[in-house]
Amino acid sequence: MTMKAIPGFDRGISRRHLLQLGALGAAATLIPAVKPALSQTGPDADLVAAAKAEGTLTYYHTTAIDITGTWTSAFTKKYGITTQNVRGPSYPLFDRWLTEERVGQHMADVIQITDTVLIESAHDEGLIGEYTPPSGAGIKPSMKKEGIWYTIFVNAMGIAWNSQKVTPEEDKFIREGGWEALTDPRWAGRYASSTPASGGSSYSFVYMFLGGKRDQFGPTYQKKLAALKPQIYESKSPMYDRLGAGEHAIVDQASQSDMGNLYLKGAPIRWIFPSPTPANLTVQAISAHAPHSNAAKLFQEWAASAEGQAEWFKLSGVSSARDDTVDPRKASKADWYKEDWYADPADLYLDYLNDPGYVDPAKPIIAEWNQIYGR
Amino acid sequence: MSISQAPAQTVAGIGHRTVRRRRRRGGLALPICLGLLLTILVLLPIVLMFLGAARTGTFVDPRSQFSLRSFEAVYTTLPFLRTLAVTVGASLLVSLIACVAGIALAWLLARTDIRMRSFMEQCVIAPLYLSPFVGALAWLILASPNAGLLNVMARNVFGIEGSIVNVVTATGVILIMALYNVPYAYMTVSSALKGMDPSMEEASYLNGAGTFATAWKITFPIVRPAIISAFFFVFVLTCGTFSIPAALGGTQAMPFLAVDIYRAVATFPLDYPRAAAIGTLLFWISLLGVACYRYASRVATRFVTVTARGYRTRLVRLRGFQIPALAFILVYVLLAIVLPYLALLYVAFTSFTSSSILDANFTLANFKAVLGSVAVQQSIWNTLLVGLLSPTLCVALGIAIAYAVRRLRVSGSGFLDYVAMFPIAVPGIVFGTGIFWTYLMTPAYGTIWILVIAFVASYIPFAYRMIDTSMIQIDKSLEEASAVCGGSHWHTARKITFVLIKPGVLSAWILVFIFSIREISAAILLASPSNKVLSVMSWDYLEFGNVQNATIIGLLQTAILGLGIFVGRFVLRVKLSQAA
Repeated sequence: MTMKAIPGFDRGISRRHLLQLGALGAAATLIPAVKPALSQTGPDADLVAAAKAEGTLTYYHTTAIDITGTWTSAFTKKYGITTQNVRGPSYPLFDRWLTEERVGQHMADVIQITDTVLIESAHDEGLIGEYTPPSGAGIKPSMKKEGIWYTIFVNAMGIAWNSQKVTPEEDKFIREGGWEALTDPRWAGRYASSTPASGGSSYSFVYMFLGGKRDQFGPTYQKKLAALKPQIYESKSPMYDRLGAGEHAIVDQASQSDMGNLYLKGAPIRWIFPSPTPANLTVQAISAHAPHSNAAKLFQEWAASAEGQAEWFKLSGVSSARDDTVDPRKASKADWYKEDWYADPADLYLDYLNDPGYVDPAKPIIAEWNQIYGR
Repeated sequence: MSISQAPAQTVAGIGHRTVRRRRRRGGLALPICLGLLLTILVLLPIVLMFLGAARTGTFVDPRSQFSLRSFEAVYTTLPFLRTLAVTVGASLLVSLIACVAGIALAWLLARTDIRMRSFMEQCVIAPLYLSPFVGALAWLILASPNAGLLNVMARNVFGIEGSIVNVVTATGVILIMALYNVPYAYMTVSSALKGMDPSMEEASYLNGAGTFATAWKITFPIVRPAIISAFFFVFVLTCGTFSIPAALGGTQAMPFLAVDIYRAVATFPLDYPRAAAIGTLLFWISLLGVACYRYASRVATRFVTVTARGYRTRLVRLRGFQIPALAFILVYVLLAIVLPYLALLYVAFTSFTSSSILDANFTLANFKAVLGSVAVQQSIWNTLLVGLLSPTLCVALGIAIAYAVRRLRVSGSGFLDYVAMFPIAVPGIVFGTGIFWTYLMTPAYGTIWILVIAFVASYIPFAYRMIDTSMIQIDKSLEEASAVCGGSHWHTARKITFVLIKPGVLSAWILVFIFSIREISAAILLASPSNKVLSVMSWDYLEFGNVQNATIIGLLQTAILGLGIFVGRFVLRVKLSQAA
């Protein structure tokens, strides 16, 4: 093949240029191979030894007790470091940790939360330990603040309904109607929701409607929902249980992980992710004065690694913060992936993390939401 | 030995000298020690609650400053005043219902020839072994409007549309709260009925009065102080109840101050000053209730003394009313115990909460998961530890205060007596916040000891009052006889006083044991990795929608309570049904 035969190349190109181009091309083809290789390098041996010497760590988390316990036990199994897990709702747990740190009662090593704004305000106060885990390189850029917090998983939130409490016509209506289907008067007394004041994920959900996508939805949409007089829960998890029991026909803020678990238990649950689909990051950071700082770093390294994130998939149906970790169930069309009514979210709404409205510490949309719902 | 109505009279002369000598021996050391202990345990958390309400943030928030904003909002704005009115009104209704049922049950079991009396007595106080929070959870499963098991069954079997019973309403919340307060009313009135001199009723019968006239003109006036005491006791407990209204739909079913407190510290924006200000509002209301309760208790207990005289109670023959009376008790037991436990057992064995029993997926996986969980195993151990330490220390403190106040009559007895009763006026969730701030910067924080301290402080009124009542009932001449015979101060206390108050002490121990195992409000606020107890685990599971595991934890709590009660009843011979 002559140089002329190569489209886009000019006759004046030299042999040296060609060699350089070839080298660049070879390097480019190597990058995808090198990237996971780098992320799989694993933690420093000295860090592992120091962490093992500490032997334990305390983990403040907001995720479900048993799932988190099983997840952290995989870490324990690998490194022999036990974890003391303390679960609490996002805001009270974070506030508790903040208070402890401010008075010098350093108990937590790693803190998990669904509200990145709070983590960053704590970082400004010097309460977050800065550490860049090598495995963090594999986390998507929008899902980390390098050296501060790293996403463990991404949870999409949609609409779920109890298939025994809706008619086939209503089933079709929900699937075709998207978010607007929820405002239909037929759901009066049959619909439940959760306050955005309960935690970061509920806040992120409501933020899309009253904040980021205000032009599309806004207060008008929320007022239609409020007119249905929904049962409002202080925490959304009990709402899912009541949905499964048939107390409510339909709910919003239906998170992929919780619906998946209910489905696997045999509950008559279906869910969809209308576009745009609010999503929320569950992130974790190291406490600046972590009593077991090495164990904390090692745990952060493991949690951000492909291995740590894959462990979540065994327990919960969520999206990973890494490209190289996918749910094996999806590939094999198992569980809910085999259902004809199920479809992955097509348009995840996640680019709100730096919105002025979202990062406003006063969270004004909560007050607006309270006013609309008469709370 | 029996209980009679004759007022206690101390022997003059040598007895008075003995008392004076004891007082001198006691000096100032004991009252100062007890006063300091009560100040740290009880007053400091309450003071911190008031101080915390007068700020814009928490004590450690660098931006926080002095402000009366929260007081103004809570004491002067309509939403809070409306909630206050609803809380007080609902609590009065709960007390009324619980007292009417408690009086009826106490009269049937203490004054009639009802069958299976001993078994029925145990059944009536059995709701004490079930955490009210778990009981509310069970009723949510049974009687929520759309998916409640009872409503679904009525729909499927009888074709009844809508709901036959709905607990997610103001009426439902009030009735469930009343249901779980009946044992307190029953115990107080039953104790008074058993403690009163039956010869007066006997005299009434001999003079031709019938059963109703005797009950109305003789029995009721005598036990009236106990009834008033029970009424205000239940009122105060209900005012501060958080778990039942929270489990049954939060503030949506009915606004309630204790739930508002929880919302203030659990949802954004977290507002501790507002929670504390609501706590102070509840404090004043409860304090009023406590003052009435104390007055009524004093009147009720000053009649009874332990002497050497004995009486046999004449029992009213129910005749044709035997079946309705038994049915009344059984309906209560069915509602308070049988149905809730059946619901809990059903849910515990299902993979998800299904409103249709026929469609449910039954499994043992939940039990395996809960019992195999390291966190649950740790919390069982913590619960046992707290369940042993709290009542023991609480009772020890109760004995010390009662002895100092009643027998040594130390300086500042009134102060000790009043402060020991203070915690009853502070809702658990508020007291827990006060304890949190008091011990945040001490080594006790985050350990099992902070729970023990919180429970001792919270339940000292119960232990103290029961032991104090036992001590008042002992004729001082028995102790004075020992002193006259040369018995030393300590010897007399050990051989006479403590032996005679032993039943009261054991009853107090069992009662505080029950409270400590069931307590949830303060425990949630003080939980940390090393001190989680079963009630907190149960709350955590429920909050994460895992009703199955929450109910299994509730059943585990009942098993521990049952074990404690069994030991108390059959090893220590404690009759809780007579303790009040």
